[in-house]
Amino acid sequence: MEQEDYLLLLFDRVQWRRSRAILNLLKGKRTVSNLYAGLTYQLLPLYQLLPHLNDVKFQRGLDRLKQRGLLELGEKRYRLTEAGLKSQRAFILVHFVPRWFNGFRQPNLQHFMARLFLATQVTSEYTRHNARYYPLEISEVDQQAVKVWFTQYKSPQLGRNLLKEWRQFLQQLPQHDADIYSQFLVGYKITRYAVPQVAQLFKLMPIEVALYQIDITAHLINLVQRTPVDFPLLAELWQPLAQGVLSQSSALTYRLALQGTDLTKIAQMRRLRPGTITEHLLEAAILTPNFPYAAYLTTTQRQKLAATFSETVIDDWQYDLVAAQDISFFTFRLYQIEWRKSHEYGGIDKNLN
Amino acid sequence: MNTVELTKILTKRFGYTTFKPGQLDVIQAVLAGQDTFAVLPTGTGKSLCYQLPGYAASGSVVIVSPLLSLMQDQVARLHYLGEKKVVALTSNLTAMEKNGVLQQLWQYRFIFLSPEMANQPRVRTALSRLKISLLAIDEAHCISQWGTDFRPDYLELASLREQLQPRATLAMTATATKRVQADILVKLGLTDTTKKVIYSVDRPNIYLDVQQYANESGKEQALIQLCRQLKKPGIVYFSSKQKSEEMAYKIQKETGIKTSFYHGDLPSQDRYAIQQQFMEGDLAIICATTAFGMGINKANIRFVLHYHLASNLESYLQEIGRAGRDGQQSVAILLFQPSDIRIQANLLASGIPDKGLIKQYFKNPNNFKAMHFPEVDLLRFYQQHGYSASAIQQLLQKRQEEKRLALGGMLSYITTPNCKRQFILTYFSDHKSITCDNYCCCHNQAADYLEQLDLITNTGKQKEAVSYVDWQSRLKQLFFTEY
Repeated sequence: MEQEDYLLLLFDRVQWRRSRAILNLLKGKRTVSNLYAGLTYQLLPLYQLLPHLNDVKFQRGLDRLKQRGLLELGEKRYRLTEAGLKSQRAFILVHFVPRWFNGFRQPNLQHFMARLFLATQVTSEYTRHNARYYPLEISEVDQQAVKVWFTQYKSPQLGRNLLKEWRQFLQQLPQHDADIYSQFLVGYKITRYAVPQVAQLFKLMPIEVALYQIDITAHLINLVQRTPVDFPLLAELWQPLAQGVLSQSSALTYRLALQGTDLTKIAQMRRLRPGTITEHLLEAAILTPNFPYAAYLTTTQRQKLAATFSETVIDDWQYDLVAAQDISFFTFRLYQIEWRKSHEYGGIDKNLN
Repeated sequence: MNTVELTKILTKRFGYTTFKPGQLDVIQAVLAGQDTFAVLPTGTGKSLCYQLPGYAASGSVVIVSPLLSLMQDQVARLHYLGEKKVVALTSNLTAMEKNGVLQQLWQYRFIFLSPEMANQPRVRTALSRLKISLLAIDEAHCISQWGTDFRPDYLELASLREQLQPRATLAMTATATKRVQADILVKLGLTDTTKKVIYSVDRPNIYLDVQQYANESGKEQALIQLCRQLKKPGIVYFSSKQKSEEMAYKIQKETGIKTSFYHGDLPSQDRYAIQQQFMEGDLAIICATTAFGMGINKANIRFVLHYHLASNLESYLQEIGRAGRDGQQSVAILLFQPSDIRIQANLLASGIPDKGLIKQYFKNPNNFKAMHFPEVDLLRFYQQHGYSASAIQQLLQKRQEEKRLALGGMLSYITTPNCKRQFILTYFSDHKSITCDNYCCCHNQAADYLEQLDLITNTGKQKEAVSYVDWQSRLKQLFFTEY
C-alpha cells in the first residue's frame, strides 16, 4: 500500500466530490463554500487536519490513484471506482484512521501541540537545573505562551506534577499508541525522533505517524476539556487556545441574529456587507445544532423550493432553477443545509446511477 | 576594551578561554568603532565576531543574513547560550508577531534579518530609531554580482548603512575571490580606511580527495563502503532531496549505522529533531542537501562526502568546512561520475527568468502581482529599480555566464591532476605556501591513505540501528525520577 491510499478515505463510490474543496477543508481554509462541501461530503470533522498539506503532492496522489484505476474523474470531480471501494475497505482494516480528531472541537491543535512539547522540554531541563539547551523551534506566539505558563508554575514540584499528568494521559492509551506519541517528547539529554524515523521504528507510513500524532493530541485536548481538574497544568496550557466552533466574527453576528436583530440592522451595526452577514449565518447553520431555520425560511419559500427539487438528488440541485422565483442564494443554501442535516447520510443517494 | 576584559566576556558568555585566529582583531576593531572587513576560513567562529561585541558595547547588534535556516540556527545557538534578547525578523512571523517585535525592537540585543526584510520601509523606520552598535553583514559575498549567491536586495545595504548610522559595520565571509572582495567594499560604501582582517581560506586538517567512478552504481557502493569504514560522525551532501532520502535508508540498512536524511522539505520540527540527534551524537551520519549545516557548531565531524558536486568552489569550501572544527584530522571526499555534471548544469538555470517570462512580465506587471516565486521576485526588484527589459536580460545573461564559469572552476578542481589544495589557494588568490604531502590531498595518493590519516574506524561492530524505549521509560528519563 502506498501513502496516497490514504486519499481513498476522502472519496465515495457514489458521490462525485470536488478535490479542491476537500484539499481546502483539510488545510483549514474557512469559507462557507468549503464548509458546505465538508457537510455535503460528510468530511466536516476533518477541517484543518493537515494545515501544511502540499497542493502539488495532494494532486499527484490523486493522479496516481486514477492511474491505478481506483479513482475516476468527471467534470473536475472524483469518485471511487469499484476497485477503489474495495481498496478503501481493505485499507481501513490495516491502517490507522483518526478517531478523536474534530477540527472544530480542537481548534488550534497545532499550536497546542507545539506548546505542549516545549512546555515539557522546558520543565525537564528545569528539573535538572540546566539552562544550556536548544529549545524547540516554534512560533513566537507559542514561545511566549509557554513562557507565561512556565513563569506561573515554576516550582520544585513542577516536574513531579507534570509527570503525573503525562502518566495519567498516556496510560489511558494502548501501549503501542503511547509509545509512538512519546517518541516526540524532548528534554534533558533526550532528543526527539522525526516523523520518518518513527515511521521506520514502528513499521508505519510517515503520514500514518503524523495522523497518530494529531489524533492523540486531539484525544488529550478532549480529556483536558472534559476533566480539567485531572490535568491542571495542561488545562492551563490549553485554556488560551480554547474557542467556539464559529469564527469570532460569525459568532458575534449569530448572537445578534439569535437576539432577533434584523440582518440589515446587523450589517449596519457591524459595518459589514450584507453578503458577509448571510455568510456568517450559513456558517452557523452548518456548524451549530438548533439553528433557527424558521426565522429565515418562510412557508412560501419552502414550498417553492420543495416543488422545484422534489424529483432531484440534492447533489444536483441548481440555484439557477429558483433564482427567477424570488429566492435568494442565501435562502436556497440555507434550505439545502437544513435538508442535508435532517436526512440520513446528509441526504446522499446511496444508489449508484 | 583590552584583551583581558574581552577574554573574561568570552569565558563567561561563551565558555571558551582563548580566541581563535582573527577573532580578537575583528572584535577590537569594531568595538573601536572601525568599519571592518573580515575574511576568515570556515570553522573559525565568525559569528563570535558579532556576538561578543553585543556584550561589550551598549546598543543593538543588527545582523543581515542571507538564509532563513542560517538565522534560525544562529538564534537557536544564542538561545542555547542563555541569551533571551534575540529575534529573527523573518517571513515566519505572523503579521501580529511582526508588529509586536517591531514595536519592542529596542529590547533586543541581537536582531537578525534578511536583506529583503531590511528593505521594507516599516522595518527600516523601526531600525533607524535604535542605537546600533554594530551592523554585521554575514556571508557578505552575496553582495557581489561576481559572487556565486548574488541577491539584488544586498545592493541596498549601502543605503541601509547610511540610514542607520551604526557605530561600526562588519562585513564577513569565508570564501571570496579578490574580485569579490573588492566588490564587497564598493557595494557597501566602505572606504579604504576600512580595517581588513584577511586569513587564508586553507583548512590544513581537512584532507582533500576526489574519487571518480564510471557510473552511479559504482558510486553508490563506494559511498556505502566509505560510510562503513570512516570514523564518524560525518555528513554526505546531495543535490537531490530524493537521493538523500534513498541513500540514508540504504546506508542504514546495509551498514547498521545510525543514519538519517535532512532537507528543506522536512517540516521544521523534524529538521530540529534530526539536527539535535546529530549534535548529541545519537546519529552518526546525515545525508543532506545544502540546507543542512550552515549554523552547525559541531566540532568533531570527521568527514564530509559529496555524492554530487557543488555548483562552485565557494560552496564546496563552505560545505567541507564543517569538518574538523576541533582541529583533528578530517577528510573531504568528492565522489564523481560523468553524468553528475548534467544535474548541476540543470540547476544553473533554476531561479533565473528566461526571455519569454521577462517579456510577458514587462507587458503587464500587474498580472504577476500576486505571484511570489524567485524568478518573478527578481524581475519585480529590477523593474522597481528602473531597469528595462533588455537591461535585465543582459544582466541575467551575464549572471548565467558567471555561474557557468563558477561551475567550470568546480570541474577543474575535480579534474586537475595536480595538488587540489594548491588549486583552491590559486583560485582564491591566496598566497599561503603549502607542501603537498601525505596529509594534503589525493595528488600522489597511497592506497592506504585513510589508514595513514588514522581515519578508519576501529570499532569492529557498528552501532545498532535506531531503536526506541517505551513511554514509561521515556517519561522517567525526561523527569529523571523513580516516583
